[in-house]
Amino acid sequence: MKFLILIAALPVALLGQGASNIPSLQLKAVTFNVHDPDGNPVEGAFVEASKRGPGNATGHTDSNGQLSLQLTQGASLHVYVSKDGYYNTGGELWRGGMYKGPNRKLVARIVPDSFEILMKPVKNPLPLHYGSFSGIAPKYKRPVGFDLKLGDWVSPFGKGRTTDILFHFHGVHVDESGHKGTMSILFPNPDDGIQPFMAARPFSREFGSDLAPPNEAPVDGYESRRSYMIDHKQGDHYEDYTVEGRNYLIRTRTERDAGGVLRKACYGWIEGDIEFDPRSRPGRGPQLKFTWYFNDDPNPDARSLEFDRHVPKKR
Amino acid sequence: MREFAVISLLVLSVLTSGLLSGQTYRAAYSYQFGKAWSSGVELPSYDILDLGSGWIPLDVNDGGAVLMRNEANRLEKWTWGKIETLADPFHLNETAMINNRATVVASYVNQGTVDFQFWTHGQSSGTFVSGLLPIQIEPHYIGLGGLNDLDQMAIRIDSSSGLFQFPEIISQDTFNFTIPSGPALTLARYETITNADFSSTQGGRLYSVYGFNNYGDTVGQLFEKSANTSSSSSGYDQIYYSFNIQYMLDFRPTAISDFRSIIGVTEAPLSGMIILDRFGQRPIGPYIPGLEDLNPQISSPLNGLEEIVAGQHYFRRMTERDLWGNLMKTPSPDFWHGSINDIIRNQGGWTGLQAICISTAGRIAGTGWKFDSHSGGMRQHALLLMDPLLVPDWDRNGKIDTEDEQFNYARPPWRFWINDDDDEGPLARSSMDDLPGSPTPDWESPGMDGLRDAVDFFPVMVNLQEILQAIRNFSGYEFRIRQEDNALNLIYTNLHPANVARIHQRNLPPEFGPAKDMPMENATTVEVTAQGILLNNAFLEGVRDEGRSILLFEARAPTVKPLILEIIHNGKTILASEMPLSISPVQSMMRILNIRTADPKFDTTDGPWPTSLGNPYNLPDAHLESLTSPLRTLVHIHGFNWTGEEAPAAHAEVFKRFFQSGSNARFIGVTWRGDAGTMDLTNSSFEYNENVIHAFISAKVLTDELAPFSGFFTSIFAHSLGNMVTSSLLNDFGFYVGNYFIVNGAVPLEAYDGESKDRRHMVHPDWKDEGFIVPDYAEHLLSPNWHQLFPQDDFRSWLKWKSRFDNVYTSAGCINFYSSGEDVLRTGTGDLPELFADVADHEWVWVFNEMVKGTSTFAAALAGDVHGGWGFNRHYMDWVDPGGAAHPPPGSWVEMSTSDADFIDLAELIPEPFFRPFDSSDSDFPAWGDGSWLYGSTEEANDHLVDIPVGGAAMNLFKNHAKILAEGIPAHSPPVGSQPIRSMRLLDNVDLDKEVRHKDFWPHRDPSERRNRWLHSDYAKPALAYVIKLYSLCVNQINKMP
Repeated sequence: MKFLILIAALPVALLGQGASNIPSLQLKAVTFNVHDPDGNPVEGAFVEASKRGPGNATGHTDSNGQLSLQLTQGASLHVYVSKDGYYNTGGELWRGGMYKGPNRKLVARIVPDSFEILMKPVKNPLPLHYGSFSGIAPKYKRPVGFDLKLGDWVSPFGKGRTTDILFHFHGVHVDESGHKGTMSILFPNPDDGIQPFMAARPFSREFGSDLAPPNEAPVDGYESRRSYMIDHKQGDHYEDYTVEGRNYLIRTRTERDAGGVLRKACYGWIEGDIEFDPRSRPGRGPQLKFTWYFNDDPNPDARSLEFDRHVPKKR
Repeated sequence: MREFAVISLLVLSVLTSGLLSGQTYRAAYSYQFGKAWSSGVELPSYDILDLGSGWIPLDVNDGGAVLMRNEANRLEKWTWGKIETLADPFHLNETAMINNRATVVASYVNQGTVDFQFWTHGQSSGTFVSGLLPIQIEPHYIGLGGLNDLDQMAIRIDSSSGLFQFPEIISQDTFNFTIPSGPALTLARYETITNADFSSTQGGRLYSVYGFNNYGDTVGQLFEKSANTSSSSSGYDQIYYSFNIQYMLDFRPTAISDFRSIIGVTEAPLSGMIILDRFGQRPIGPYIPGLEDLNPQISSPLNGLEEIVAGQHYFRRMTERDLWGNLMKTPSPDFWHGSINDIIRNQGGWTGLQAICISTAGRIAGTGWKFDSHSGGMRQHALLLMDPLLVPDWDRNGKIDTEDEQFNYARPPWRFWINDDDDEGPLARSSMDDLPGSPTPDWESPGMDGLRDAVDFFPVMVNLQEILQAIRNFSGYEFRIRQEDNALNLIYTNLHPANVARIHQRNLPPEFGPAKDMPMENATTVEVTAQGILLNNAFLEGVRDEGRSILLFEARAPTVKPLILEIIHNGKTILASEMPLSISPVQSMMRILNIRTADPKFDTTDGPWPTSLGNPYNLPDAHLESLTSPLRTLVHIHGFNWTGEEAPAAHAEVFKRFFQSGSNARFIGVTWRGDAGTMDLTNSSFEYNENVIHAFISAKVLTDELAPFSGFFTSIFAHSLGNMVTSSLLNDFGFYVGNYFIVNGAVPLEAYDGESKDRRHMVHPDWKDEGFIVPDYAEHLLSPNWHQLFPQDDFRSWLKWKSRFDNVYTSAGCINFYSSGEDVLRTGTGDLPELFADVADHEWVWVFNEMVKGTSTFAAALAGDVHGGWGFNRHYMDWVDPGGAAHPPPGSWVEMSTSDADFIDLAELIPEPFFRPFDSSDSDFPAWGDGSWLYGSTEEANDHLVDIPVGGAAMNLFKNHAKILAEGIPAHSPPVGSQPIRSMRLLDNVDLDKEVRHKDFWPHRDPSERRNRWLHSDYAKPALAYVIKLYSLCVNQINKMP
């Protein structure tokens, strides 16, 4: 296969320069401190870190959850950490590059001396309902329900039966001068709701755990409504309401008893932001993309967000 | 509206006259066709199985069991070579039927009385009716009107209340009779009473059933008289009825399907076929002399496309076409009529073919004449029409189903390529893996060569399940598969025909190979020899018991000889079914447009695959158009650094991936000079910017070369720098296509979106301040913005990337397949990537190249001529010499401060840009001159540059434009290969890393920085199974109407 290799294969010898004279190629000891969410060190975690040349720098953490590796000091650092009983954690931990430093000289960024790495334990993985929607929403101007268990719009717009989340697209205007519109995310029950959390997209280049959300959804902190607006005028820069690393926890199908105690609730999470575009085809709803994981157990104490397909296989 | 109707009729006539050898019969009444223009038909394609001479078939079931009367007047049942005698004698006036539960019912003469007998569910000994019917006295007539698959019979029983006793009542009852429980429904009763004084009265309904379906509906003829009518009174009312005497018919019905379509005949002398269905009643077919003596029968297939057989005549319900002539699945009111011969793909020595009976699903039995070597004359044989036993996935929709089984026999052969590349593992090792004509071709190795090799295999269904279920025990049978040229290898699988797509979709369990215990990617292949190999029992048992009937094949050599499956019973071949093949090198399935030598600047050779735009002999346009009409075209434009020798690998692999994903578009691989400066040592080109110029030149060349292929039904699939070629082609030269798939595009985002919000990330550190302590240089000083100094009619205003390609949307429907996991085209962070660290690891390579344009680095010099870009013009710099005696002096050029630079007059920036001036000479550019025209008047500049769109402007002027853009104007935005294009809608941007790459099914890569990412060349590098969604999304668009 062809790569846009360009300069990449340029032999160092071309410049008649030894590796030790190039800051980015010099080695440096980097320490990794691996711990669990409670702050306890994780012993025996296998750490693979990128380095110059073929293969990875590897090792296992000691009883203090620590490991020190000799790494290339100027190159971006990709690290993967794994241990049975924990979700894999990895990705690009640190980015290298050259910037204008003092005296207007280009200076290479140097990898830090140490990193703290959090590993989430495998607790209660479940066969969650999951899916991605990438298509046209049925309607503008009125809220339309989506069933996260069945993965479809609620009847009559789809095969869904229970409204978990409502999408309301309003204020939509599209013409040659620009486009605008608002997406409001609503819920059918008073105690349903949504709350954002920050985490890298799992199984991606970004550094993070393969379990992006917490092991269990929190009981509190849910908002009953969330809105995002797009307002683009022709010639302007394209602004984006989405935020890299933003995900959402959701609670739906919530019921309380007379005493106010949760009787039923289902939890789930949305991976990444919920994207929409008021521009669509004539007579159609707005364009929409989102990805979800949904635990349909109505027991309010069943708050696990762990997906059994993402549990790492034993080595 | 009138014109519409005329066109419609014209299209209809063309379609029907052009495609069909038989005739189409339209309903003779007004019918609302909805969106359909006309109807069309896919005729089945049968082989003839010779049942032997001396037999006449009576009935057949879906399992292929045939009831026959032999010439010695015996009733016999043929089951795939095994013959059982059910009744002896069995006279000409006796009838027998068989259903899909293998229940046989016969009515026959036995010692002067008429009786009937049935054999339930394949029993070998029959049971006489008298023991089970609630009739005290043996009947003396039984009429067998029909037998359905629920073991229900429509029968008429004539029985007497007693013999020699008066009054005697002869009752004639027509029942829906369930075996063995008895009458479920009395359909009619007629009585004749002979009193003691010998007077008689009669009355009621005497119903003869001619047709009976699986819902218990009957059609037949009714004889009716009022009760107590004297026997001497005038005759009966004779009326044809349907639906159990609910509705009167004005024609003689012969059968009713499960879709409640009633067929029958009009009476002689103008005897013709009539149908009454949900579309109404109408004649179909011409007047057929002698039709009244035939007994037309109808099938009830699951797809609703009923077939009617009557002697040599064959009718088939057609389907609607869409506006473009493609067949839909909607059954039409129209029937196609022709001869039985029309559905036989190879008649061999057969003549006088006649169909006698048809089963529910459409299995046809009949007779024909063959030369008999013993007698030296023709002899009548019984025959069974057989679906092909070897069925490929003709429509490549990932499942082998009825549509594939009944694929139009006019379309063979199955066309495929020789597996002569050299795949290994789940990831390509290099471009050479996919190069056809390898000295170590994959077909030579004794197994599949890793998951990437799966693209070179095709599935074939071995259509034996019904036969194997019928015979159960394989003893005495052999199933041999052979190919005369030894041109194929096979792999045993445990796949079901509905799941053949899975070989390109996901990781499969290890159920491949002779013992079904190997992973597919390593499964053993078996050579299909000319002598033939016997299919093993493990596979046959899987076919019989679970329908796991898929074999995978790869091709070893070119051939046009068929693959043949033979059924051998006790040493005698009872059926040989052929699958026609056309196997060739993959190059013979595509067009190549090689423009590597189209311009003097390219200075190279074509490579092994020169231009070849003729109709590819192993995948001709007519074949593709018969699959998807109008004919689609797919143009593949490769990216940077494919040499002439390697480009065939790119085209071959992309063609194969589209073919396996269901594309029916003719494929054109465009080979262009994107490899200038490639060093043999590293197989890498360092002259990236030079190749950007080549991309622009190639676009202008392609404008004419590709012109015959432009249009709404053409799609372009371009990778990486191939998008510079394509975007220029569409934006600058008025070329238009239906779809433009931008795959990991190496083009600045601003070319489509205009000025980028994140443009500062692309500014070289020399031009900005890390800590914002001092301001950046003003944007109007930057080379990416130099164009802003010129009015629109000055062609220097086009020396920019911003909005450079924003007209592509008017020339194509675009989809941007980008990857947030990109390496080479990764979005910058604002830092200059380190050459010997991340860039050496393929990260931010494009960003690095853009950020060093015009600078004095060695890397910039390698990438192309150094001018413009992020270099500084010494006109605005100071030489600072600290003094001393050193030689050369230790001084250096120092840039003007940002605050001072703000005071430079805008007009001064035209003759003296703040950035490094452009080249003063370049012999490769005949219209370049000394470059001074860049800083002079509009007229002078326009004489050396082009306006956009370029249209017919001279190539040398366009080269000047391209040189400045490629070498002197750095991108002021990230590449589209790692970013969504916001001026395109949400769904027109697909993040390959997020939306196509599987979380839990992706090849493991080391070192760790390569993991969990869709990298720059992953459209082709991982096995197709990992990335097929990309191709499927494109195929959906290709097949979609504009």
